Amino acid sequence: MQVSRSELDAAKPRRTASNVMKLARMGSFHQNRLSFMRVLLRRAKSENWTFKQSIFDIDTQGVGRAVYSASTGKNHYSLVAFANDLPPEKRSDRVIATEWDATFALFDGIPTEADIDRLEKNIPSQESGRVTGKELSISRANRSVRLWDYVVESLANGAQPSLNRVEDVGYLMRTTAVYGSGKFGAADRESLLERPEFQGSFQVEMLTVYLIRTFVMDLVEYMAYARAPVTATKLEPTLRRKFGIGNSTGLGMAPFLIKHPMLLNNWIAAKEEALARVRSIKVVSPEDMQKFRSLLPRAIRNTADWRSEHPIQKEKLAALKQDLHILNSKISDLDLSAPFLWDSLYLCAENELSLEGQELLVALMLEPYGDIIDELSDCMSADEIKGFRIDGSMTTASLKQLLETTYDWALNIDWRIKSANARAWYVSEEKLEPRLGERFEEDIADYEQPLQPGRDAAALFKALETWGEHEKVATFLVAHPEHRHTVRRAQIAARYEYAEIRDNTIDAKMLPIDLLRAKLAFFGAGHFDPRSDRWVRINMFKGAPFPSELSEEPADDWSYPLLIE
Amino acid sequence: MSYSLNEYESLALKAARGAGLPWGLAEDAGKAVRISSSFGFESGSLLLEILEHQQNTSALLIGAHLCDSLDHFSGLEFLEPVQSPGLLIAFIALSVSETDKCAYCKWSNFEIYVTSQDLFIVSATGFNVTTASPIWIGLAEAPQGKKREKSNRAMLSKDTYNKLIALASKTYAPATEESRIAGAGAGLNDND
Repeated sequence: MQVSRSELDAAKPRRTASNVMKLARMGSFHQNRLSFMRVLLRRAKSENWTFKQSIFDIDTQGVGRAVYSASTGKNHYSLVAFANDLPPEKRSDRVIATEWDATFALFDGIPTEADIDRLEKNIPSQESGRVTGKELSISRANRSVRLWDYVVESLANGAQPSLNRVEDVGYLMRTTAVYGSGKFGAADRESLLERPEFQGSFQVEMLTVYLIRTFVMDLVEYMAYARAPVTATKLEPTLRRKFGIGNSTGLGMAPFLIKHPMLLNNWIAAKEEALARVRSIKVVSPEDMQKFRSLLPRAIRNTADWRSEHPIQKEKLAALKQDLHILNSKISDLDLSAPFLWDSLYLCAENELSLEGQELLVALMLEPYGDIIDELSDCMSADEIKGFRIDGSMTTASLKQLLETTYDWALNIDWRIKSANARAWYVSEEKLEPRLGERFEEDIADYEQPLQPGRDAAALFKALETWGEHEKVATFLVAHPEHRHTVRRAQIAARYEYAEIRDNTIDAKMLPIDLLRAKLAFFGAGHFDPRSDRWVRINMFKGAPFPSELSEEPADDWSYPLLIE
Repeated sequence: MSYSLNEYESLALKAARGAGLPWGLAEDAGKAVRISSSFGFESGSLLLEILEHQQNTSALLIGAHLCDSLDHFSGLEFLEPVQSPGLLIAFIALSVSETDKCAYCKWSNFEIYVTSQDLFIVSATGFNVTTASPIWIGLAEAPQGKKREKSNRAMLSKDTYNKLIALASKTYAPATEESRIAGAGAGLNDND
């Protein structure tokens, strides 16, 4: 199902694309009810998925294999894990690494011994290996040097690790890539669409990481036991849940949102529709307000726990803390009998809070309303082939008009100025990963990828100036095939309001971490910790119930830390 | 060897760009081989023929234009030889994909019908010819022939794959230490 602007309607309008689709705002997005990790766990709980560790064959050095399976009732999926004893000098989060502490495949079904043997020949070498349509994802993870040995040592001595040290890092391993959808021969996402559990976005990847977390926690406890079988203990359950899986995300992920405009639209449209529905609530019930009020201190705690040394994020965090203070005082004064309280609160936030604060408020406002917004997660995937065909019967006058509406911001930029055109996205031959270079300082312009829709739209607009109003786009494209990708994109952006980022992606001051943050927030990540302007660390599933706890614990009350534990 | 459709589409797109095509047509090349593969046709050699001997009468250029111009669709005859005509079926499939129409495409030893969902084959022995003429494309009342099973995988010979990889590699910038540090954003200790 696609979310187009005409299909959903609410009393209060959705925020406009020119407001939402700015990099500064996207770089301030927070996880919310529609985030993909939360969607996965809600489904797993409501459908009573079962989980099983079927193989755990790991030696005392931490080398071996393990298999963890999830069953939806109808389908089975198995994480096949290969654990490694990696020398410290080989450990790197960079995509150019060649060995990792652990590598994984998500297998479609229950693997045979022969399947595992085949995977063992391919998965530990990651990109150099080859998988088949039976594999749904490939991934790898490295241990946290700061925490792994410390936790093993503590548990081996029969002691629990200190909460402070656990909170400081938040994970025992961090994934450095989770490849899905057809990468290195794995199954395409499109081939799984008939399975309800994979109709949402990135559910294969989220399931992979959820099972990785389970494996990593079992592994650390096993390593402690292997070191000292007599004294070793296990992690206390509440402390155990505080471990998520780290993720280190670099530029490789940044172009994704630009390359998938329909998908981006559907993510944003679902969130904006959710916000509009909540803002349209005329009378806020005391129960719903209580739910919001109970979450606010937890969000404050979550922000207090958020560590980052990066100057940009530090500044944003300081503003966010101030915002939460303001919000807290506003909430205590709210008059529940006033109509459209949420709408008023949001409008007030737009004037008084930073973008971080505004976006956190949006996420919190959605929390009490699962019954009216959770269904929107079904609209967050995209059948991208539907946007592929160019409507060549459109007149060049209509195309110009469309550009003036959607790309007005780009037409106002003087692209001759160096700073507007300072960067170029390219792919390096070294690891076939996207990089961002300085156009006027490096020899990269010839290799530029089409990741600057604004500049390309402005060039298309200029090319159209000499064409008569009633010419057909199809005719124009025969003469100007160099604009073909931009026409296709512009027609998508005209149909799907939030398909295009309304900012210059090659400006001298553009921050790639804004793109990363937007995507990772939709995944459901928290505690974004930029390590540079183009590399960010996050934590996934921190606080979430483990598979063995899912039937007893709430599936969706873990995104903000509990205050009393 | 078997490849995922995403993998093949992405490779074909890059190979087409590496061969010097504009990005938009490179996207069409990727989509064309993907759709052909989804109907079980091995299209790599047809794409290579187009990329290695670029002609104005290629199925890529004709197909992309045809797809843009749905209003021209009812009854076309191409008398000039079309290069790698087998790839036209992808553009025809794309053209009818959101309609209730049934289109046909015929040349000697080749006759297929396509609806929004399926492809039907009367004869496909001419799929892999380097050129064909005349070619007829038009709309039919109903499909004829045998429905083709869909496939989730693409088949490519190692030789074709390597040639496409070689073309794709022309889109990659040579690695330098400078780009490794600045371009990828590394330079910090990431082993902590």
